[in-house]
Amino acid sequence: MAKEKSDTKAKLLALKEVLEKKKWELDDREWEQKSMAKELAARNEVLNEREDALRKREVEVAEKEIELAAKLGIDILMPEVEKEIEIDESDFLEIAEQEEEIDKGSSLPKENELSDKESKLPLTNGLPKISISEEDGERSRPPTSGQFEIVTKARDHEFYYRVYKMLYNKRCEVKEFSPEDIDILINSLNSQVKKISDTIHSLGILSEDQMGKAVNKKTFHRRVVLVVLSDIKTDLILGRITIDKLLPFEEVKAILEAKFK
Amino acid sequence: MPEQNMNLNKGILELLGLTGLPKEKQIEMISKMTELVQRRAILRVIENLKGKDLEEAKKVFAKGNPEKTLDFIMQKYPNFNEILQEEVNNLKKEMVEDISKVEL
Repeated sequence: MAKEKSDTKAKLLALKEVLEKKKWELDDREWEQKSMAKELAARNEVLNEREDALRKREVEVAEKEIELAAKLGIDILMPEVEKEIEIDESDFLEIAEQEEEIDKGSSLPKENELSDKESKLPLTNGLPKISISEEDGERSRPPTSGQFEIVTKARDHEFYYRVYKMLYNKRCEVKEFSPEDIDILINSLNSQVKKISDTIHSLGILSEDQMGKAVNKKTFHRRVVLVVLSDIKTDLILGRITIDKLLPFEEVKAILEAKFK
Repeated sequence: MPEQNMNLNKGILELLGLTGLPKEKQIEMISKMTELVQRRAILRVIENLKGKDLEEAKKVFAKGNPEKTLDFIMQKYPNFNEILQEEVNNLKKEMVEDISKVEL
């Protein structure tokens, strides 16, 4: 009996040792993960600060270029500004998927249908509501897979250039952007737009039904953003939202929440 | 302008504490900074153009051909590489100053 007891005790002790060792291993791993996450966060913070500092300089240069362009009558915009920008594979695939859905065609929302829904939204705030015709939508569609020619991802400064130049020179409102400009605008906002539209959904600005009918994501995003932007209204803010991500998503969300919640 | 690229590449990442970033991020930052330096240098050059040179510049810039633009600038400003180097140093200083302010 005593021997049995001592054997059990020894086994328990051995087990305890193993468990403790495992616990140490887990603690070590957790600590490693935590410190890696900490390091990553610190690195991101550093990067963000540096990018902000750089962005500040880019804005300064862009302003100076525009000022000088107006003063001397010389177009200093770098040639890259106008050229088409390469798209990465993920953009390509996303667009291809959207196009496939469009080609299936049946559930594409009708222009009037969406306009009607939009007209119920308390969003226009006195500004003329922007409506993009399906013709415009057609024009912005890439031809077929493999021949994508549209500009899908403007780099910050390029986009900044275009928008700033338009705002500066024409003092234009959203409605005065050409379909091509709107394409660039919307496409360059692609990921942020999705987040914004998700927020719009989560705030109940659009019903699930309305969201669900908007199968053509591109058209939908365009509409949502334009409506939102027209509500947010000033060209300055349009610039801020669209230019170089000066308004991060969290801030856009805060604006939306303040307005609609 | 590979020389300037290299200089900027070598020093500024260390100065800005970015060497720990993934390579692609480093390249992205370098490419942004390089472009900014080039734009600043071109601005500096254009600001000083006058009369006939300015008229000529308008024509060259209107064509939107970067190589021709650079040829023109190099012809008018044989020391353009020095200007670029100065701008590289200016950007380094400014960025480091900016960051010191943030971190104070």
